[in-house]
Amino acid sequence: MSEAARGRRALGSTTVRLAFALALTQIVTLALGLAIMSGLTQRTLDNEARAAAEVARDDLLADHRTVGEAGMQRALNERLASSDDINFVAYLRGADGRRIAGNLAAWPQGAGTKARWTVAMLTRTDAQRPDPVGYVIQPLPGGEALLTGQVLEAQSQITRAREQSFIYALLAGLGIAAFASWMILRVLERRINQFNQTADDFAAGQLTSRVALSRSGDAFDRLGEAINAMLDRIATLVGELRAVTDSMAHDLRSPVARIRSSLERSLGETHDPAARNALADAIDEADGLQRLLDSALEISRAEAGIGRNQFVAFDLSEMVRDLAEVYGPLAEDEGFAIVVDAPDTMAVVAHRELLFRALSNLIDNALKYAGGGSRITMALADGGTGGIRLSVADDGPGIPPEDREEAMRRFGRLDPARTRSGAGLGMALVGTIATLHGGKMELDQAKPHGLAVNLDLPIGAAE
Amino acid sequence: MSQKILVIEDDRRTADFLTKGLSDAGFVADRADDGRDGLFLATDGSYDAIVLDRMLPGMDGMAVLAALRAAKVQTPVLILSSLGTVDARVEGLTSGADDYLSKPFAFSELLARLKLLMARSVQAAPSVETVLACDDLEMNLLNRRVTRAGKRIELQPREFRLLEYLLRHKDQVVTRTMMLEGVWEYHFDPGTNVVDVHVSRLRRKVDDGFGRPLVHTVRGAGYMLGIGE
Repeated sequence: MSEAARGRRALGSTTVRLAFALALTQIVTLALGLAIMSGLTQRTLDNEARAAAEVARDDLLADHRTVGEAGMQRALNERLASSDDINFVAYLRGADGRRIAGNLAAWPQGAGTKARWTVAMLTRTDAQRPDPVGYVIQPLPGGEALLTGQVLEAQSQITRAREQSFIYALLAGLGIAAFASWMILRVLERRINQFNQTADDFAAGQLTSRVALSRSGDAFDRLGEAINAMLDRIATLVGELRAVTDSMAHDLRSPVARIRSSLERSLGETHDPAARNALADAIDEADGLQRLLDSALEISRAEAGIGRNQFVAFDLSEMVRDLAEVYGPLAEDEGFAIVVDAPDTMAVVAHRELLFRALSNLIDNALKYAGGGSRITMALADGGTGGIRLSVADDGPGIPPEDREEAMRRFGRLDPARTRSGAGLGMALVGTIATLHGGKMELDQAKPHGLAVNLDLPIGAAE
Repeated sequence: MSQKILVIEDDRRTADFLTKGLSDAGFVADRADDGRDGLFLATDGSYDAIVLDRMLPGMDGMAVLAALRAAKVQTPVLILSSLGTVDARVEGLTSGADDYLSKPFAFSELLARLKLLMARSVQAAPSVETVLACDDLEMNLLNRRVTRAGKRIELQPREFRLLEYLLRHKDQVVTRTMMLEGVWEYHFDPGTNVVDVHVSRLRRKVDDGFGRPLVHTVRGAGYMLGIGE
């Protein structure tokens, strides 16, 4: 469960990064397009203004040639007076530097009698503030100089409008990019979630679970086919393993059965007390061996998810109280009191016998390893959203955090000398039983000291 | 006429052990070495009980059981198997077996369970008993009073249930597993002496201070309530 959740988080960051990259690419493309367009517009506008200024100059020069100085002045004044081209500016400077005609307040500073297309801030006679003006200057044969140009004011308005539309387009583009990314994200997530679901189900022991293929032959389908092939292989191996363990149980347990039978028969035939004691001890050992085989078998079967079809509805609170009753006298003899902290009823759907075994293993462990303690608390609580938390805690020495992993391992023991009895399968079996129920086992520090084993199981029966 | 039991078991030594033990206990024991022979013998319905191994050559034990039940043969069947896991047990019980015992087993436990099965199939409706007794120990199920030699014995509810179970199986060996199953309804082999402690507490109340012990330990098997040897 937790692995899948981690997987989903990692997937989240990858897809989110992907979406960001996608949106960013779209926005950069859009911005680039807008910038190129605006540059082109600017150049066209500039060229137009320049052409207008040059045409006006050429017209006036032609007037000068055909009708003379005075004729040209008249044409210039007419042109300034007409409102056809409100952006037109002109300045006719005499050879003495005075203004003969024109609508500019002054000759551009530093300008000579000839200039190619130049842009400068110039003030018109009817304006308070200078405007951006593009102009050309041409000297006349009489020593005068003629300046013609265009106020670029209108162009700056167009530029502003262009900047605004640029921002609007960018915002709209951002929205569209976000929406497109979200759509792509959803499609990706949906496909990837199918993989996730399959992996989760498979990990939980549903060995027939496979990725559904869309038959479109795309990359997801190819990945799905590869994963399905892998799952087929694993399922085959698990099946073989199960067959091997089952027949091994048969092969290994039958001799044990015969040994036990012989011992039992001998026990019935001898009356020598020493022999009877030895035989009874040997029978106990045979029983212990059988329980070890049972536990190992039970673990491999629970790991393979066998037993899920035997989940039944029952009252877990009652089971917890039963356990306290069954183990009460034994615990009392060992110096422990069993305390139950459970609601009156707790309806669950689970494997009754395996859960009972898990809890009795935990109590057994507490009795065995919580030396010096005096209290075993079995707590049952509603974890919300269909989950329950079962915990068995003692007030013994506990297990330091660095040793907890080892304690949950199969045959893992914290007692290097192996002086205490126990097969070391107890905790591992509890862990696999928790997994079989789609939950998990964790070891924790009991308060103020001791070991707490928590089982979080999603087995609450929906009311 | 003594009761007839059919043993279907391919393992020769286990089969020998079973038939010999059953004969010693006063039964007529027949044996079959494989599923086909076993099914053939069992279908005439003349047996009082059948001990059936799960893994058999030729025809699997579960298939034999299914065929028997399909042929409307209702002879009680006790499955005997090395597949001692919880699931195998439940599967066996839900597919028509009356009891399930895993190897290695105590013969006394097998015998106790077989007797229980046969008694159950004979008395279709168990008579409603109100008083259970053994020697001078009496249990009144109506007012839940327990007396021994006329003296009142105070028992906790769990001790009462345990004693009731022992009294109902008076003079039979009951194993620890059977007691957990009968008293608390959990099929489970605890491995620790969790049941022993219950019995020793009960024994203290029932036997201490009285002349003759009634609760006996049967070594290598379990316990028995009775007057004793």
